[in-house]
Order: sequence, then C-alpha cells, then structure tokens
Amino acid sequence: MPQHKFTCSQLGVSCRLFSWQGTSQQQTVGLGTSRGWPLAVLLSLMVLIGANAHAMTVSTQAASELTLSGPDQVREGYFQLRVEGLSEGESFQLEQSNDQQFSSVVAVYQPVGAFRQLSLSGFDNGLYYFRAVSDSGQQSQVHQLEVEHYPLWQALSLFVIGAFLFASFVVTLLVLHSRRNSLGSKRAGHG
Amino acid sequence: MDEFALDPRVGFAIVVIFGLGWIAFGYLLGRQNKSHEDFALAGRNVGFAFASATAMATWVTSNTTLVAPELTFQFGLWGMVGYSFAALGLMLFAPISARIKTLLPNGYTSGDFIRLRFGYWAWLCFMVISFVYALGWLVSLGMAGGILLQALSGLDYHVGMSAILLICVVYTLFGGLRAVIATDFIQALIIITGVVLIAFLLLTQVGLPDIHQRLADHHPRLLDLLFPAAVMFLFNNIFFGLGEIFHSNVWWSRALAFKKKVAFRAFLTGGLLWLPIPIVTGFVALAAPELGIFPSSPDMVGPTVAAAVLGTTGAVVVFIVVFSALASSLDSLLAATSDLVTRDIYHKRIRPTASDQRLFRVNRLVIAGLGLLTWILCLPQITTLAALLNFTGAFVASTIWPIVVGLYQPRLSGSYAALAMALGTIAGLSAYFMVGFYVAALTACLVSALITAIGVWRTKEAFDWDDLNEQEVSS
Repeated sequence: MPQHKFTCSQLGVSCRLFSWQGTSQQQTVGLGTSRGWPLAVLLSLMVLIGANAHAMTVSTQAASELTLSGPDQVREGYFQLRVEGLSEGESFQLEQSNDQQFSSVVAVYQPVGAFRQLSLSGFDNGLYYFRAVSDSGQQSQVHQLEVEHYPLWQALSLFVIGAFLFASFVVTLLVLHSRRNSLGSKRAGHG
Repeated sequence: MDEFALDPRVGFAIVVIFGLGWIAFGYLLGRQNKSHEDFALAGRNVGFAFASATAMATWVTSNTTLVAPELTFQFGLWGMVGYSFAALGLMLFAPISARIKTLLPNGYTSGDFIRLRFGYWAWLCFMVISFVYALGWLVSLGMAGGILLQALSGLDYHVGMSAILLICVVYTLFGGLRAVIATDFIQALIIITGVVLIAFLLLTQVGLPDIHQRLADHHPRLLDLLFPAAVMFLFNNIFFGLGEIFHSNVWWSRALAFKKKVAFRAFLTGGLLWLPIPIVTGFVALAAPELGIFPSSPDMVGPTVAAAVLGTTGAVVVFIVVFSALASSLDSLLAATSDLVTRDIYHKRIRPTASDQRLFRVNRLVIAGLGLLTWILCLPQITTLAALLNFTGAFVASTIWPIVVGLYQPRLSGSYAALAMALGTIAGLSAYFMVGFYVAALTACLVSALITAIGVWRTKEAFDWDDLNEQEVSS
C-alpha cells in the first residue's frame, strides 16, 4: 500500500475519486471489529475491484514536484492518468508525443474543471508518451505507456462461445416454454 | 473545459424539489396499503400501463444513463450497441414471468421459488448471490447520484449521494411497491421525454463528420468493430443483463404483482421501450474527444458531455432525467431486497408465526437498514460504476440456467442447482480478476450451463410442481 501524504485540499475534488488508494487500509482496520467484519470483508473485496479496474501505479513524490502517474501497460486501449504536485488553483494540460524526447506534441488534453486526472480511450497498439505541463510552465516527467490489445483470435473465440451459449439458451427457453404451454392447455393446474 | 454546467445550489434545489414531490406521492399512495401483501406486492393487481412503465423505468438506471456512456467511451461502438442488447433480458423474461405467475400464484419472492424447488443449499447460494448483487447495485446507484451532481455542478459527491439515498428510502418507506410502481410511471415519462430531447439537441448541435474524424485520427479503436476487448464484452453484457433480471427479486416481485395476463406483454413492451435508450446515452460519449472533454473518471462522461453541449438548460434536463432514472431503480431495489429479507429470512427462518402487521413493520425497518448500509458503503467511492456492476455479473450470470431449467424441467435436483451457482460464480470471479470485467458473466454462465446440463442428465427423480404451493403459517 503506497504511503500518501496528500490532503483533499491539495488535490481538490479529485482526491475523493481515488480515496481507496490512500484510505482503504484505514477503512478496513476501522471496521475490523467483531461486529464490523462483514463490512470489512465487503470493503476489502471492493478495494480489490478498484485495484483491478484501475491498475494504477502511484508513485510517491514530493508535493512540489509535478508528477504524472498511470498504468505502464494496458490491454484495452483505455486508461487514466493522474497529476500530482500542482499548487492550489493551478491548472495543467496533458501532452502526448510519439517519442520519449517529445520532439513533437501530437495531442493535448485538458482536464474537466479542477480535476487532476484524465481518462483517455480508443488507443491502438503502440508506445505512447505523456507529460503534464502546469500553467506556470512546470513539466512532469515523461510517462511511457504501452497499449497491447488482446489477440483477435482470443476475442473471437470468446465471441463464438458467447454466441453459441446465447443461441442455446434462447432455443432452450422457447422450447421449454412452448412445451409447457401445450401441456398446460391440455390439463388444468400449473404444470 | 473549466466550468461546471450548473450552480451547485441549482443542482441541490432540483434534488430537494423532486425529492419532496416523490416523498409526498409515496405518502399518499402508502395510505392505501392495508396489509403486508399490499405493501410488498401492490395487491397483485398492477395493470398494463403501469406494468410496462415500471419494467422500463426500473431497467433505465445508472447502468443506462451513466454506465452506457462509460462503456461507449471505453469500448466505442460495441459499448453502445452491446449495452442496448441488455434489453434482451427484459424481453426474454416475458415468458418466464408468465410461468412464475402460473407456478407461484401466492408466492412472494424469487427466494420462495428457489427454497421450495431446490432446497436449503441452493437457497443459501442464491441468497448470497442476491445480496452481493443487491448491495452492488444499491451502492452503484448511490454512487451514481453523487457522481451526477459532482459532474454537473461540482457539488460534493457525499452531499449528492446522501440526498438521493435519503429521498428514495423515505418514499419507499411510506409507500412500498405501490409507490415504487406509481413513481416509476411518472419517472418513465420523464426519462423518455428527456432522452428524446437530448438526442434531438445533440444531433442538431454537434456535427457527426467532425466527431467521426476526431475519433478516426486520435481514438481509432472506438470505431473498430474488431476491437478485441469490446468483442469479448458483447455477449458478456447480454449474460450479465439476463442474470440480473432472471434472478433478482426486483423482477420477480413485479411478475407477481402484475395482473395475470399482463406480465408477458408488459416485460416485452418494457424491453422494446428500453432498447434505444443506451444507444442515445452512449452516443453522447463518442462526442467527448471532439469537444475536448476527458473526464476524471469514465463514468462521468455522459452528463459532462451532455451539459457541455446543451448548456445550462440541457444540464437541467440531463440532471432531471438521470435523477429520475436513479430514483426509479433505487426505490425498486430497496423494496425488492427488503421483501427478500423479510420473507425469506425473517418470516421463513426466524419467526414463521409473525403476524401480518409485524411483517409490515419488519419490512420497513429493513428498508431503512438497507438505506443506511448502502450509504456507509457509498462513502469511500472506491471504484468506477462499470467495474462495480460487472463484478456482480460473475455472481448473477451463474443463476440463469438453474432458474430457467428449474422453472420448466422437473429433473434438475437442488444439489446440481447449488453446484451450478457456486462453481459458476467462482469461475466468473476468477475470469474477472485474471482477464477483466468484460468476461466475468460469460464465464460464470458457461460453467453454470455445463453443470446444469449434467444435472438434468444425472437427476432421476422428478420434482412435483404441487410442492411449490406452500401453505402459509399464520399467528
């Protein structure tokens, strides 16, 4: 569990969105009394879900240094990037490049409102480089992210299995229902 | 995008005005409830218009208004189209609802059927699954309320979440299922009108060619029909929807509350009315990159884009639509889950001789307790809506085959039904953690189907359908 030093006022509203990262341990311990164990178990499970959903790698940096964090590798082409180390009221933009040296900026993304995190999606296979730039011109380190989608054969195999299972289900339901209806019309009662 | 579309005070005022309206309505309707059966099943006398509206409105929830855009933002075209296939759950429940009404004319809950048809162990598995799902859905709805207010007005997440939960708990407490169904009818009218209005305004104000060009240049996978994770997600979402509806007491209580010949037509109509809604709400998310909107969390994309495109008036419409959708599902789930606890645990396991008035009181206490538990679990806001909902997919999809086969085929024993639900859930959870949320329900359903098939093949003794006619013990 990473050790976080930040406070809500430092991070603005966005700290609530990822409070599981910093406070989940505290929550679980707080509920870990004899009466609170079911809640503790459920919360722990939900923390696991969060960890699985976001797969965020959060680095611990001094508050004054602008840092950009996020996953190193994703399989679905969508991810979230988070900026830390901005001063109160300061905004930022996220820049994307095709190389680590940032010889050219190919896209710029702005956050919504005072949020310190962005969600991006629809990326193809490849290596992408991002950095955050604050209003005052301060730059974060370059974050490298690799997108590697699941192989198509794997996806199509699951698609075919799903299609077969669904077709079997619909046929089973309709056959059972029509048989039962024809039986039901021949005799009274529910069966 | 630097500003929020609504002033926080405007957002909160809408919640308070609508909330007081729903509560007053619930109070008025609640005065007609004379018995526990009135409270829990609206007197088993709900007609076609109300039945169709409640089926559609309950299924339009945070799933449709917030998660459909989230999944479109993540999975592109398949996210939008695939999500609308969840309507199949409602449509395929139409024949099931007719069968439920025939088999259990005096039944109360889905738990009743599982207990009488399959026995204790299957009932236990089913109750665990039901509670995980109900809590997951309740928490996701509470979270959605907070996220909605935060995305549109910047109001603190905890304020929005607490206000919406409190309103729904109070009017469900007053009115029971009768109030839930009546408010659903009004909420359905608001949802349909609002969604049509949003679609019209979006199409007239945002250029489709620009959206397409931006996506093709910078987010190409969102337009790709062979996007691997999205292809995996498609059938997973269908099975998740089927599992949600087929097992949940939300839908069983409606099947039991509707008039005898109404249930089939009502679920079919509800499904058809619901089908286009995720397409509209999902399309909103595809406009996000062109508008330069990259939300903090993907579940905020729908309301954020709609508010940005449609301005303050649009934001008010979006807010009212989503708030109605959330309320219509939250109240239904509170009512149905409290019925399950009151009937299946308190009445059948703890106090079989409880009087009708005592059941009535316990039911209300359970609603309040569930509201409180949901509020506590919503406080940390620990994950995104889609991840939370799809976690429960691993549980509910394992119930599809045992329930359907158990309703029609007498040769499926309780032990095989229990095994199908337990092993299906374990397999689904393994897939969830090892691959991703978009394969959990499919895996659970597949394993459960195989065990159910073996169960039908191996079971020799036929179930006597008359055993479902349970004699009530009264004090």
